[in-house]
Amino acid sequence: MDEKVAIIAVAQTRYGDMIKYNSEELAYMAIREVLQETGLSMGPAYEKGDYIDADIICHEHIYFEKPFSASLILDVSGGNLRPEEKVDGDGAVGVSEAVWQILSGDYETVLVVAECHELLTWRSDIESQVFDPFYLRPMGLDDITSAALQARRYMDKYGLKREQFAGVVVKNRANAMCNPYASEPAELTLDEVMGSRMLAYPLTELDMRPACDGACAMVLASERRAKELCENPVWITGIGGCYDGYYLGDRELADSKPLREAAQRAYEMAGISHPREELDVVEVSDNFSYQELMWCEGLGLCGPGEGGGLIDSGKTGRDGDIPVNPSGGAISGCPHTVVGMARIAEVALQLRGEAGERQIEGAGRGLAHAAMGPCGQFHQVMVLESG
Amino acid sequence: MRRGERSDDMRRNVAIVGIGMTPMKTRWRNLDRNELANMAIREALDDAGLAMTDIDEVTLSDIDYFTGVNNSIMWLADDLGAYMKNGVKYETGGTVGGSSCHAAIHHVAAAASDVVLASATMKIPNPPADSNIPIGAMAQAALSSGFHPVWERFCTIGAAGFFAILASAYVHQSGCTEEAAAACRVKAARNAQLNEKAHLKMPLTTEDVVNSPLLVWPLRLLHMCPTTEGSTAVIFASEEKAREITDKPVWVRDIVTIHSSQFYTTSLLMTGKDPMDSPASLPSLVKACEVLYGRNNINDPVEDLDVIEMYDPSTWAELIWMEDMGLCERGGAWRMVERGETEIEGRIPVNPSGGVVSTNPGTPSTMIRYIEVALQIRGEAGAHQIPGDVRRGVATGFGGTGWTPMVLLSRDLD
Repeated sequence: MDEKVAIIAVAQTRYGDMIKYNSEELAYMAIREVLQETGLSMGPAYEKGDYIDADIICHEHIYFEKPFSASLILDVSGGNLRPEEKVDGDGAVGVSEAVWQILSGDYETVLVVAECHELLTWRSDIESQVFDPFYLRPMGLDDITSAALQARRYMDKYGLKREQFAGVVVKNRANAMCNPYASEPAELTLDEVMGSRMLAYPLTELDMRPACDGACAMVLASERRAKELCENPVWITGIGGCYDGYYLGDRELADSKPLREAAQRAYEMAGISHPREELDVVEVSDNFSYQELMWCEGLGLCGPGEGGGLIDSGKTGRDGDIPVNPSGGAISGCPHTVVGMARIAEVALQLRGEAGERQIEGAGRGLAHAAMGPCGQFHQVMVLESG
Repeated sequence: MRRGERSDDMRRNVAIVGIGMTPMKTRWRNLDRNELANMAIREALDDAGLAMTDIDEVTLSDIDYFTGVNNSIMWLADDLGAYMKNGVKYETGGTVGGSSCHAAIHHVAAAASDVVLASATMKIPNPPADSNIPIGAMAQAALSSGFHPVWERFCTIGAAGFFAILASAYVHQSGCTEEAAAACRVKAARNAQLNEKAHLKMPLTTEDVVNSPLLVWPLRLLHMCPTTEGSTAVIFASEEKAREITDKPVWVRDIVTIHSSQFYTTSLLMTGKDPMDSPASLPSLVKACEVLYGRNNINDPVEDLDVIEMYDPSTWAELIWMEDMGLCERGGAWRMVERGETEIEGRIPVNPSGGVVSTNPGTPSTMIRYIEVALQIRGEAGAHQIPGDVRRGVATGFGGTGWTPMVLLSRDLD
């Protein structure tokens, strides 16, 4: 990218049971923080000043059981009589849309908000609606059962073990002990993970991201405004997104071709040729334990089928040479729609040196990954750099 | 994109290079949603002389709550041609056909991609098999659920409640008669009959309109838009690519998006002592016009524009929006229509396509407005082509809680 865009403020609510707050209150908790941090306000539309120029709301409206669900948090996001858009997907996609809005020259500062009350929903009923009603939905597919198919295929093709999947949960939940935003930090053993309630073989309850509520907000700015407004902006230097085909039977579930493609595009843009050496911190969307390993392979942090060895080696630990999910990842509690954006938030905090007890010393370049759709049909990879 | 006095011009010029639209009708019984979407996309590709492999990215407009699917871009991905490409799905409301176009324009202007396809499709699921519910009722129920359960739903049952409030205030304040509003609806029907893709192509008379069933005074059945199924697709390209692809690019000169408060409808009722005193106006449209006209040196839209295609969910909305867009003084729109000034051959043709009141697939409805202005500028609108030179036109969208996306398109870049 010849001109750059930066994240100049990040805020997250605590992730967990937030049922006593409505959508507006929950979103505003995060929004208020970024407004205070940047000193920006919601000015008249398309006028110059210390204003947020536009906002993007990221909601999956089916989780709110209403169309144009952005209206729920529009007033606190600054959408009244001002430019606003609504991305129906993960907040991470909203962040890249904001980058393109700014690079197009239309706006200089954009607020991105993602929010979900996942505990109000019956997950399986909603998740199953992503499958077509003729061939797939009648089989009872949802996130759990489709992920189990993928995990089984992964084990069969490359000989990965359930212990290795459980190893991801043990590492990430322990990392979350140092993350005040995570809803379910824990000191676990491999046996506890593998011995928890079986959902669909080989995945147990602890192999899956727990549902929770929460919101995340960020302000993005053009290079000029970022330098004026912020002492430690985090620059977005690479973005890549890619879709796989739809039908699970059409896809090689054990190898994520779209992720390799998305990563390649982001690396090219950021000028990265050896991701393992050139990245200091990586956050991936581990909606299920095994996915962290599979996504590490797709990102080129190890070869195909080597994800098991990677977790065994301990190199993805917080003190390892390529820390993955120092925040504890989504598997330690993060709401749907916020999962990918929270990965960006964690990388931004790490690059700003604001990650507290879980800070990785000297982190200068990081990667945040987002996945959407059954078995990761869509992937987005974002490379971020400090100063 | 040139932007008047502003220093922050769009980085690259963007043009519409391909247009696709299925015929619009009540039901597409023989095709599913994916096939319908693909049909419009193939037409757009043919129009541009491109293959699916020439498209860099896809932007989708969709409202899952109307179609009973979750994360619909997943199922649609194959038929959108998104395989191994980037894509993004927007869901803003009736405005969304504009949202995905604006996203595509941003992507191209930012040099994220050179050629981006925007797609929008409406296919309404069947009501339960053992019921006698017509499909329109299902769509209205889905629409009503978008409004706040405590503060909004009591006055916005489906779309009719909202427009009845606006229309009754308009009648009170402007002195518009039933016959004058009917004239506006008859004009739409006349234009729709010239548009082979339009949904309702009924020959209508003033008597038909004033005698049609009353929904909520002064709103009659024929004042409201139908429930339509169909699909649209538009391909946007950078200036360099556009000149390679086509010899008739339609240039995107400016885009503006303005949303308004979730309690917009209630605020209409609460503004004055009497609902009849509430403003007969759409504030987001007023604001969007102020910005767009200001940035593009449009001092008098009637003189400076050659066509206006607006999102008119109701005949009354067309009259009120005309005043919001500054085509005449407050309260003057119905007289302007009576004088025939907004006819296809008039001073400033408004909705030569027949408008939303003749064709309303919802998700694609805003995109159809953009497409109509582009076709008029190309001179390819067929029987509803505006005679003479069509150099510049504005299209608007509408949706959510009174939101407006807007585009200014032109034949020439200078």
